[in-house]
Amino acid sequence: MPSHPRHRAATPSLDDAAPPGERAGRDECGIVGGEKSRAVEPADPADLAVDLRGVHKSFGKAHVLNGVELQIPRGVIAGFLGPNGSGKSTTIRILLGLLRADSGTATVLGREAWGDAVGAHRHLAYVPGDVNLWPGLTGGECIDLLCRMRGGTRQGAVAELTERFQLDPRKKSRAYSKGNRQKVALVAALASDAELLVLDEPTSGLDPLMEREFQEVVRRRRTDGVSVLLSSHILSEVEQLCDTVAIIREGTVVEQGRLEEMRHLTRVTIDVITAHDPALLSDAMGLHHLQVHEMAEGFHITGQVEPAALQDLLPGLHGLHVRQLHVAPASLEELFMRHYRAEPGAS
Amino acid sequence: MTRELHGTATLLRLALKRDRVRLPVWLVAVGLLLAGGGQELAQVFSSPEERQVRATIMGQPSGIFMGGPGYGLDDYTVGAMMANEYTLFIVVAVAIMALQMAVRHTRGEESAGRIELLRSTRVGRHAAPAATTLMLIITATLIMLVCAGSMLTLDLPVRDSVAYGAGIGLQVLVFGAVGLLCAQLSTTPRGAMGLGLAVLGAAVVVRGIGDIMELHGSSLSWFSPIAWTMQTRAFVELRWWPLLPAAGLSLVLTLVAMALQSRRDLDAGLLPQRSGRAHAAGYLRGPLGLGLRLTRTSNLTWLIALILLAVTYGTLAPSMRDSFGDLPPSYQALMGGSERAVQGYLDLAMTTLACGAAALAVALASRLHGEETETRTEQVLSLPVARIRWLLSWWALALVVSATVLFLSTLVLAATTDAVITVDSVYSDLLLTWATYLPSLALLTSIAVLVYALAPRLTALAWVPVIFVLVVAILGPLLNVPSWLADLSPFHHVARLANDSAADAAALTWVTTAAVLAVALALAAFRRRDVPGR
Repeated sequence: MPSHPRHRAATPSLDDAAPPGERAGRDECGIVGGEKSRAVEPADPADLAVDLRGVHKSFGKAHVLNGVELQIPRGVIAGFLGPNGSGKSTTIRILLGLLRADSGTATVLGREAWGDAVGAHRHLAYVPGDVNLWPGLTGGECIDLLCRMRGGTRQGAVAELTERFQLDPRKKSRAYSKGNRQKVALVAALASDAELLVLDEPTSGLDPLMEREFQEVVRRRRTDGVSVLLSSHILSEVEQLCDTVAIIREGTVVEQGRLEEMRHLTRVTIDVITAHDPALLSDAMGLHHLQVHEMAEGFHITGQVEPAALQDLLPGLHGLHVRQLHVAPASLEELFMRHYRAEPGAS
Repeated sequence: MTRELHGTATLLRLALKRDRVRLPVWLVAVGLLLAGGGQELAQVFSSPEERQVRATIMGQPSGIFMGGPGYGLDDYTVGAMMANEYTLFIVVAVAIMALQMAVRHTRGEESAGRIELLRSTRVGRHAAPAATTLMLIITATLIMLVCAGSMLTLDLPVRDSVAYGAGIGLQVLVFGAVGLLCAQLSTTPRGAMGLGLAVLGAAVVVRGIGDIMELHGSSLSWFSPIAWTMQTRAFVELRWWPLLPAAGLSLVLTLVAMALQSRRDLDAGLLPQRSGRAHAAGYLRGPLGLGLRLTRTSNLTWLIALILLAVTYGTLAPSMRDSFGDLPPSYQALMGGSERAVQGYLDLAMTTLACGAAALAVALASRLHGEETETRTEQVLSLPVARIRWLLSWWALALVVSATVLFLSTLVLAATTDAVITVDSVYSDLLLTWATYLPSLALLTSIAVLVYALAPRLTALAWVPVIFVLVVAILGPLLNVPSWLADLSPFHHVARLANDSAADAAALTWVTTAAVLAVALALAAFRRRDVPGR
């Protein structure tokens, strides 16, 4: 998009009149230098739990995946974010060998996702977003069946997890709520000795208490060296649990990396209350999206600044008689919203 | 009380709207079955002599169990024939319809959570059962009109036709009320339906045994509501009063259901909820064990149905032998029209049983599609389960279960025949015939699996070959199907007792080869295609 004012946000002024949505849309994802943090680590493919390269997939005329690049190192919990219809579930089904990629390569635990699906599945466990069980079987029967077909569980894990998730295994599956069906699939997956857990929105039906239990179990599995791919809509969950994050939009992974690195590369939000008029503050100090409101107790200034420029800003604030100062790194929500709001094709 | 009925009219309109397709389909089906079946029966058995032959068969215990108490057997008119032979089938059909209707609009809506939503508005506690009762009354009236109308198309007397229709319509009310009651007892629609079907099954068995004990019904018969409709003696010597207990019972059951409804909580049932097993049985460890477990109930049902059919065929063998010469020519043709009447009759019995087994095989193989649309296939294939294993497991399950069911019913046919009549080497001949049906079962199963593997959404097409085989086997002799078309049906090449158990070995080899090819193609196709989610 050559006509795009790519660096407009980098040269803001106090009278930047663009509406917020549009402005955010044209924003270069808030990342310094416009460079995406593409590589997680210059990884040896053997160290990757999941490795998708240039994966394309169409259903009829709908081009659902558009060159997906996704690398998840072993031993990390990787969040996988994206709005509905962005291609999350299609990506997961490709790495499970349920769908065949039109082009590109999909490798899971060093095995070809389509060609050696069974070999890969011996070492992974999957919890679908929409768990459908056999209605005539009880929850306990479903758990046993899934565990036996996967080939064994960790000693005592099924009983412990059933207890922890407060699941009644004697009920017929058709009588279970969505959350309880999810618990059945979670117990079966988390009890396994799989090296990789693929979890597609696993907590969407759980209550907050059960979600906390879930997070604890997943963290414990990580200390055992298990890798996790966690697709989720719950940003706070991803923020608390995940080491790395990948954001997919319209069939392309637009952001991928360690969460703290992404934060590091992203502007810091400042929120200041000063006694004096901050007319002296200018864009030269590296401030973006500056807004000033005059209030009874002084002037309320909000804006964003690149982490490296924070140091330069402080002298400017010095003379304004600061009453309150709040500096916060970008939240995952802010990172995510930038991509959500971005215009189609803008990235 | 009126407060508790608030909203009934609205719910009734809603129920009628939701059933606007289902109800007309039932009405048309019942009408076609009765009028169409009656036309055919009247045509095939057009002379009084031919009908008398049929009356002797219907006087046998099996005839009574599958038919009626035997009114008018000494002067078997078309009307008497219809009342004696069609009532049971129609009553069972409308009873299932009524049970479904009653359960769906009460317990079904309740467990789906919609009643909760409605009851939070100005809708009374009894509104749902009351609306369902009104719905049942409307349906009963329509069924009565359809049945009476169907009888009138056969030029039967008006008064008897109306009584006959009323008798069937009242069964809608009786079993509808049974359904309302069962919906109060069980917490799930499926459980309520199961209870209702058990009541219906008991009513069928009690009527059958009661009538076998004594021609025209013993006192045991009267314990079954189905007997009341038959006891009106429509088209023979009409009496109306047996309809009174039917009306009374529906009223009482409906009131009891209403009373139970006001005593219980929403979503609660009066029967305790049974808990199942906390752990799976040992055999539930792979696709095959899973398939067996999922189809257990339906396999047993098919087995019982085919064994009952085999018993019926077997016990009727002597009367078939004795009356073969007097049967209508088209009926003789159906049995091969041979001199060896009993052998031809047993061939027909085997064909019928094999048609049942073929339908079972295709029904089992078609479950692959349901597993996929319910995304359970996705879950299994994300385990270390190869696609080939999943597909072959269901193929093997369909073939082995249908072959076993056919094997057991063949044994029962041989045993019951052997008990009532002497036929040389009946066991070995029938078992040989059974073996020659196996390639056909394999082919039909393989075609079903192939259609699923190629185009899962078109899995229903797997029924086309079954229907073709069925039509050629059952109606072929009557329709004078050209021989090249009949040769296409795998059932056409099996061993036949009437033909000294000679089978067309070359043709059977071809059928087996085709089955193997189809399943190999299916495996290749299933390995290549996507298994998408919903």
